[in-house]
Amino acid sequence: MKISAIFLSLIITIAASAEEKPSCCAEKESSAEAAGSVYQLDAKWTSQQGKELSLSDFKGKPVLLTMGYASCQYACPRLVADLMAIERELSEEEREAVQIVFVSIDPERDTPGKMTAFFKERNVDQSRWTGLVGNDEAVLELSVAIGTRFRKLENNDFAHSNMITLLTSTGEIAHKQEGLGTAPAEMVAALRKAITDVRKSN
Amino acid sequence: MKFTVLLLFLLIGVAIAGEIPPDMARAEGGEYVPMFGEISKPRRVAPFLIDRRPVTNSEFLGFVREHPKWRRSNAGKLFVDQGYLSHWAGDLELGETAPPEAPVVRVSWFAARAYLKSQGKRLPREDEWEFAARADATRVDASKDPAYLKRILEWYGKPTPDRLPDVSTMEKDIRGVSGMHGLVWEWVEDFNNQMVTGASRSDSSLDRALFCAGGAVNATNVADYAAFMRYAFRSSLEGNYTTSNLGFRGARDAEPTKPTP
Repeated sequence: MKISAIFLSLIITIAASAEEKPSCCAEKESSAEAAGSVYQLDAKWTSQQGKELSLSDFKGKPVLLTMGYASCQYACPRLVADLMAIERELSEEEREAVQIVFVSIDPERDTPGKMTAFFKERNVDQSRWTGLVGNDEAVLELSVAIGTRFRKLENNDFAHSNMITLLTSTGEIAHKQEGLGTAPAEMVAALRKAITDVRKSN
Repeated sequence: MKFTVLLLFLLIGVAIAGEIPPDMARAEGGEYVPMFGEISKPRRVAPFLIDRRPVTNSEFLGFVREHPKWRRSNAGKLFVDQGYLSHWAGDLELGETAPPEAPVVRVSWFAARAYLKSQGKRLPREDEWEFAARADATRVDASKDPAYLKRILEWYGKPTPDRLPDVSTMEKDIRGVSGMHGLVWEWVEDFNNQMVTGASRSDSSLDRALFCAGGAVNATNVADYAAFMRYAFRSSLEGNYTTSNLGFRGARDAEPTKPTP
C-alpha cells in the first residue's frame, strides 16, 4: 500500500512538473526577446578589439547600424560620414546614450585589425563605435532581417544598400535612412524618441 | 553468404562516396550567364543536389509538430509576417485549402531555412536554382528555345488557384526534378542580392544613390523575360514575407566528379 502511495505521488509530481513547463512551449519561452527584435539572431560576432559579441549585447541603448565593408572605395566612407553627421546633431548626453555599429559584409577580408584601421582613418570615436565581423551565415541573416541587400561581385567588391537602420534599445527596427547624404533630421527625431523611451522605461 | 557480405560492402561504399538521396537529383553545374548580373560574365556553378519536388504541406506540418517555435501562433514577426501558414486550418491542422501533398506556401525565408536545417539541407542559391530551372523534359538547357520561354510566361500570366495541386502531378525535367515552373515561385538563399529598387523595378537600371556598386550590375539578356520576372519578384521580397504562391525546396553541396582520365 505504502509503495503504491509513494509511486502515485511520484507520478503526480512528475505530471505536475511537466505541467509547469510543457515541452511544447519550452522552445518559445527560451527566447526572451521581443517578437520583432533582431536580437533573436544568435550568431557570434567579433568586434574591432577582438572581443566576441552577440547582437543582444547591444541591448539597453538604441543602435545606429549600417552594413558595408572596409575596403569599399565607393559609398562606405560616405555612409560613415552620414553616421557622423547624425552624431553631430546630438548633444553630448544624447551621444552617450547611442551606440553605432558598422557590420562588415566582407568576412573574407575584414579582420578586426582592418576595421580598427578603417575607423582610425575616418576619425570615429571608437568608444561608441563598434565594427563587427562575422561569418557568411551571420551576415546574410542580419542583412535579411534588416532589409539590406548585397551581392559579391567578380572583382571582390560588393554591391550593397546604402542604409542606416535605427534599432530601439530592445533591438526592434524603428527607422531606416536610405541613400547617401540624406538630411539627418528624420533619423535624429526617431533617435531622440528612442532615447526618451529608454529613459521613461528606467 | 559471401555474396551478401560483398553486396553490403558495396552499399556502404556507395553511401560513403556520397550517394544521391532518393528525394534529390544531382546537377553537374557549369558555367552560365545569369539574366541579371555583371555584364557578359558567365558564372561558375559548382555541382549540387536539389530536391526533386517542392516541400509539401504534410512535410512542413511534421516540422512544426517537432518545432513549436515555428507554429503559426508562436513564430515572431521578425521571422514571419501575418500571412504565415494562414491558409492552414490551425497550428497543427491543414484543412481544405492546404492539401497534404500540395506544396507548402505562405512560408517565410526564415521558416524555409529552419525547416531545411532540420533536414540537413539548405535553400538553393539563386545561381543554382536558375541553373537547374533551364532544363525541360529532354534538355539540360532549354533557355534559348522561344517555345520553352513562352510556356513559362504563360504560367506566370495565370492566377494562382486557391487549392494548389499535388506536387506529383507536375511534369518532370530531364533530371527528374518537377515543379520548378508552373506551380509556385520558390525561395532562394540569396534572394536579397538584387539592387533594383521598388521604384525602378520595371527597368534594369541601378539607382546609385540607394546602392553602392563597385562594378556594373545590369540585365544581360532581357529576351529571357521569364527570368527577369523572377529576379524582379525576388527583389520585392523581405525575409519575413509570405505569399500564397511562394514555396521552397532544399539543396545541398555535391561532391565534385572525379576528372575522367
